[in-house]
Amino acid sequence: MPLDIFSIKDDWTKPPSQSVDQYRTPIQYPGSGMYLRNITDDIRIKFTSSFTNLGKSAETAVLEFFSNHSGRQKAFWAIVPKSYFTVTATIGASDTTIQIADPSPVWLRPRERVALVTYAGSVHHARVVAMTSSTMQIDHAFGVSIAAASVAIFTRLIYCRFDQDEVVMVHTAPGISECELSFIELPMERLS
Amino acid sequence: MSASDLFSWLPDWGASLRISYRFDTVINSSEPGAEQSRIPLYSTMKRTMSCTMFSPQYLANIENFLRKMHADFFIVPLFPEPITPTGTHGASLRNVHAVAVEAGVQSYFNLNNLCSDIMMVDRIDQKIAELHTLTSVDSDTQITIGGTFYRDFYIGRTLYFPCMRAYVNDIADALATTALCDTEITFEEHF
Repeated sequence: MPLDIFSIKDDWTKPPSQSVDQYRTPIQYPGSGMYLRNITDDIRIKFTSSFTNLGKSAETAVLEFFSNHSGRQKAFWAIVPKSYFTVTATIGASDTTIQIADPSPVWLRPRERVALVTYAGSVHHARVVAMTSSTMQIDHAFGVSIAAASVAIFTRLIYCRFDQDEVVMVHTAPGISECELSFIELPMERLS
Repeated sequence: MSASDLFSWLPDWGASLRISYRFDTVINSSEPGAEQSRIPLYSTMKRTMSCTMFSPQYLANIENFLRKMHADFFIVPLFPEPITPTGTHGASLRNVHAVAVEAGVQSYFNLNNLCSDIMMVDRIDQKIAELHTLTSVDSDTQITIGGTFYRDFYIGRTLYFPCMRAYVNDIADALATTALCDTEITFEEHF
């Protein structure tokens, strides 16, 4: 079944920001030390990206996605802008092993999903089965051959919702607008 | 709704114009962050539009309108979605229900999703405006409007806008001289 993925490309002239929610309570005892009570290990990330809509179609795509997910209500999948994988060889149509450069800078949960977006705009996703320092094994092949040079984005795919109830379109002209969208991960709702 | 309830003055595009779309969702969550329910308070997005008016010739008209309607609802065009009729320059648009327009209207979000009325505005004499029901967006180059026509509008000086029922949330005048000012107005949708 196709995933509901937010794959509209953000505008890196205003770089995205990312933060991590802190789920611990400091407990301060009088006259003694401080303890940190861990509330959950399902720590979630938030990120905010900017979008420049050059034309009504681009603006409508953002607004329709926001409207269809009723702001903060409905969850979907989104591409994390931090730490991309680098594909080092062509991915064959039936390949379940992808050659990648050192993946150690990318933080990944076990059995997490990844998304690959090509410059042509097609989006592919898969679940990570295993990784070495130069390969990533995924649970199913993409079904098409993808040259390394045609990969625009290859990174984590998170289950999330919008972290805002209001999208503000700033129009500098009738056909040009800008907006910011914030996303927050929902690790407890993610299907394994 | 009478003709005097239409806010028909066009904004100054030298300043940016903002439209916000919001749901005001209520979220119930547990201490570790598991969310039990997320419920939007509105079934469709509520819009707020802020724009700047700089129209020396209409300064008094705008002020009169805003004073008259300060405790009432009225109709405001959604300025980022102007629809330009096409055809013979100067031809009358009176009683033209199927309007040929410049391409692109099927990409207009408000027109296609959150709009039931269309405002016709004479951009040379912005006091002249008329409200019609939007019947359909037939194609990328044609819309159909309903209702009775009361005035003459002409191709070349008329714009159509999707619109919303709103009230004034905020007004701020920034005076350039004693006779000129930028008036920033915030309209909030009412439904």
